Amino acid sequence: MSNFLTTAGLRGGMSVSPASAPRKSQGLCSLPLHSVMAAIAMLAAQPVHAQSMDYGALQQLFGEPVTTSATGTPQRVSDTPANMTIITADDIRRSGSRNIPEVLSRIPGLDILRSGLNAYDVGVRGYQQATQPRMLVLIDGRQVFLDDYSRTDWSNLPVNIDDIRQIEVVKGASSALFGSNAASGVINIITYSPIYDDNIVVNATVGTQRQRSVDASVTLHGAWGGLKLSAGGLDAHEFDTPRPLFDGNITPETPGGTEPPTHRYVSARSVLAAAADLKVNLELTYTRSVTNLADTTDFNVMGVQHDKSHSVRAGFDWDGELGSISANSYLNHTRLTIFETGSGDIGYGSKINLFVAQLQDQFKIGTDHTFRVGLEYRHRDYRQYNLQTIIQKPHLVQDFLSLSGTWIWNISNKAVFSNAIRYDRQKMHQAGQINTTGLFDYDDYRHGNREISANSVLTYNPTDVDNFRLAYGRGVMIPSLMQSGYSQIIDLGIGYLIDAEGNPLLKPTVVQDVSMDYGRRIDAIGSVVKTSIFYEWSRDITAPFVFDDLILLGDQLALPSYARNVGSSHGWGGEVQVKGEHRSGVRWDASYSYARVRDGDRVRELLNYQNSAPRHHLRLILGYSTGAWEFDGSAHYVTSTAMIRNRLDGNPPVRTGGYVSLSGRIGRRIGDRFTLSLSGTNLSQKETRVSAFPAIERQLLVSLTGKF
Amino acid sequence: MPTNQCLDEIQSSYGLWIGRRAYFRGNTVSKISPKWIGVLSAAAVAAAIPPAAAQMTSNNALAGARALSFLQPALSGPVTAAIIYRPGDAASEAEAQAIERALEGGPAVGSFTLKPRKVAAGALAGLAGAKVAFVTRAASERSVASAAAQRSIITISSDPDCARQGLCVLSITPGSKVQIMVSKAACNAAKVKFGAAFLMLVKEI
Repeated sequence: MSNFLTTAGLRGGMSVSPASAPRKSQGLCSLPLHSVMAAIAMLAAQPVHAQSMDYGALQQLFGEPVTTSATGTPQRVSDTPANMTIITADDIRRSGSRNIPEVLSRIPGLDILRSGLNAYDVGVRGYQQATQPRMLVLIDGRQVFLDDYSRTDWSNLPVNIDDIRQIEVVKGASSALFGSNAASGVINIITYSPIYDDNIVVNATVGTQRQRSVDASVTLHGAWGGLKLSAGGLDAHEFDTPRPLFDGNITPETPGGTEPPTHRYVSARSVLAAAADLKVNLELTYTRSVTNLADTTDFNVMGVQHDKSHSVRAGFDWDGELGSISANSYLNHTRLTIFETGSGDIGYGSKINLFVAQLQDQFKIGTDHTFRVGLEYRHRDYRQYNLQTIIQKPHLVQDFLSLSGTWIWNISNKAVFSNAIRYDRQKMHQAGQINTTGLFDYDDYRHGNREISANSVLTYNPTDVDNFRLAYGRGVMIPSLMQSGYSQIIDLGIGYLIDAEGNPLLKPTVVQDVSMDYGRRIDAIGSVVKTSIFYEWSRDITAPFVFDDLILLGDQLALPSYARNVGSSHGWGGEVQVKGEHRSGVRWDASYSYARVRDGDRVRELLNYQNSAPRHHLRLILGYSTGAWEFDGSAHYVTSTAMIRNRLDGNPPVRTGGYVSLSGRIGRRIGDRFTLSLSGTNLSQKETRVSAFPAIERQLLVSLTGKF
Repeated sequence: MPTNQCLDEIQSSYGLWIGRRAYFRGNTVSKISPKWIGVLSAAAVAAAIPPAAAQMTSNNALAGARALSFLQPALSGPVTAAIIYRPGDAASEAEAQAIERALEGGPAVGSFTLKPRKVAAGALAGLAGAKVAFVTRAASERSVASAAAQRSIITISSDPDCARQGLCVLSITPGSKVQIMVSKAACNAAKVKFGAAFLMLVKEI
């Protein structure tokens, strides 16, 4: 939250304001390295997604994708005890999209919120907001979700879209497996393996909005292992649609402070075959971006974000006497500055560190019981840099220790009972300098939380083609770093100070859901039909900055605004999808999803989930391949929304009518190695208002892709 | 989305349909390539066998070959794959023929290439040099299992009972969904080990 926003909130009034296996090779036993690793395993024993698993070979063998995202152990997608969708590399290519959220828009139950050319949020089951906190996002098992606001910066992922093997999407509480932030689901992006896959690919794209992008990935491998290097970048111009400071329908338009969206990334990932049963993983990434987006902490005021992140990761997968033991450790460092519209050069800066160390063991007991036990240590800290009238240098530090387990019981050939549980113990403290005459002092920060997440799923497959699931999930959403540890006192010359603070005493939001799914493969029409109904309830929902009564800070009057638990919310709905293809080359994917949310009074007033996402969403995707040609098109129809947005007269919902959106792609293979494609989004209108944010424009892209 | 297995089957059906169409268009048998005669013969034999005694299809043979890529240590280079059959047993001979055809041309899986070689159940000395053996149903018996285990040969069958009784390392069950069973006892006897990820995806008994 920047200085300016606070002012904006004040204009809105005082009551509701803005700122709110088996045999081991004998020769290996004696190696000290193994001994050390075994010792580590003993000391420590989450899902460390088998970094070195050969997804391609397993998919070829079983005739369907394989995933670890449902239980932490490898499973065929048709056997997963979760509402899971896997988007394949073919799906991604045929979508014509060069960004992941647009690809995800094809999944029933997900809604995409777009507030700029490269600014996206992915909502789930009716819960939508800018800076979406409910869906955890991972790349090859490494969290790319940012803990500052609890969100994913989709514009700044260090991944080449042409290097993605599959995107695994689980809807429903998944915290028992992935920890907090997976309260309503998880998106795990799996890239091609450096050791098993040959993916050498280059793409150049140009398009409207002066979009230019280049992406490349190169893989080298041998008996020693594999190395993959990826790099790329995007330059574009922001949409020209009006970007008012407040809602454009009400206030005079303020010149929008935007910057051209950019993205640069480079990543190096290797898997070293240290032994037949031991693979060592190493990864380095660097990425930076400029994005024009909405700041949810200030009732969705627009801003420009500069985001620089790098990460380093190391781990191993070892098939030993004790089972399949995996370790995964990584450090993410992110530096962000957000310049909110109208605030000039005064930016709100932050540095976020996340260190995660995970160790897990997967093993079978007998023929019918599979277990996974995991231990995780997580450290995150948050430093804040912005204008302060009373000097403060907040530095929030949080440590988590988690113990988790999965038990999969194959009751019979037709029934499976899957259970997962996770215990998290969190401690935090304020390591920086804060003003203690305000709402919170150091002692308020020095405390902890204990939370339990769980999943329990009964799967019944009466035949090879039918699948029933009955599932319960309990997910936990730890308050964001900003919600827990923001601290700014500023004099805006309005007669009193503004004291904007996070709240270290916030309770985590608990999300519980029950769902029933039925799927059936109908070979006669070459299709799979999937249906699902769910009910979800969330308690202790947090709202960012809520104003309170005036207080005294020393001898000065101040208006406090701080994060609070504001009540509960319930959601329910369902999905139907028919997806298939015919040997003639025709393919189809038709789906309908319904999601209804009912908020408690304060939640509705401050966050308004119940109107922020469309209740009805129809999708129709058709495609046809013949010879060297591929033709694909999609149509989406969504009903109206009314998301809150900062305005001069308060923060009432901004209504957006229902709309139809058309997208398409024509691709042609040229020779064995190249594909030329023309794709477009939002084809039916030049501009479409899809949310409370600036309208989005029609986009056309021409891409040349080479695979070598 | 239909699975690849499903699509394979659609494609297989489509292939047979093309064959039938060529036949019924009035082409003489001599105009049909030996490949199609083989396919049609195999189909005819397969059709005459009751479902309970379903045999290994070419898809399943390929699945078996792919499963070998999860062995630890991994196979590499040319690998001799014996096909154990019972001479005189029409079903066994047809099954062996189907497997041989599936492996014809040496399908490359991972870093190895399978080289099929038919071995009669009564002449198991022919297993010498083989690392893998596809066992036809009629040849699924203890003497074969022992001979293979002594040579550390990975045995693969389409008969789940073969793995269930510890006579085969792997069974690949025919059907619209690939079902793989791994016998721990047979693995131990043959001193072979599969990767943990693979074992999590199969039924281990």
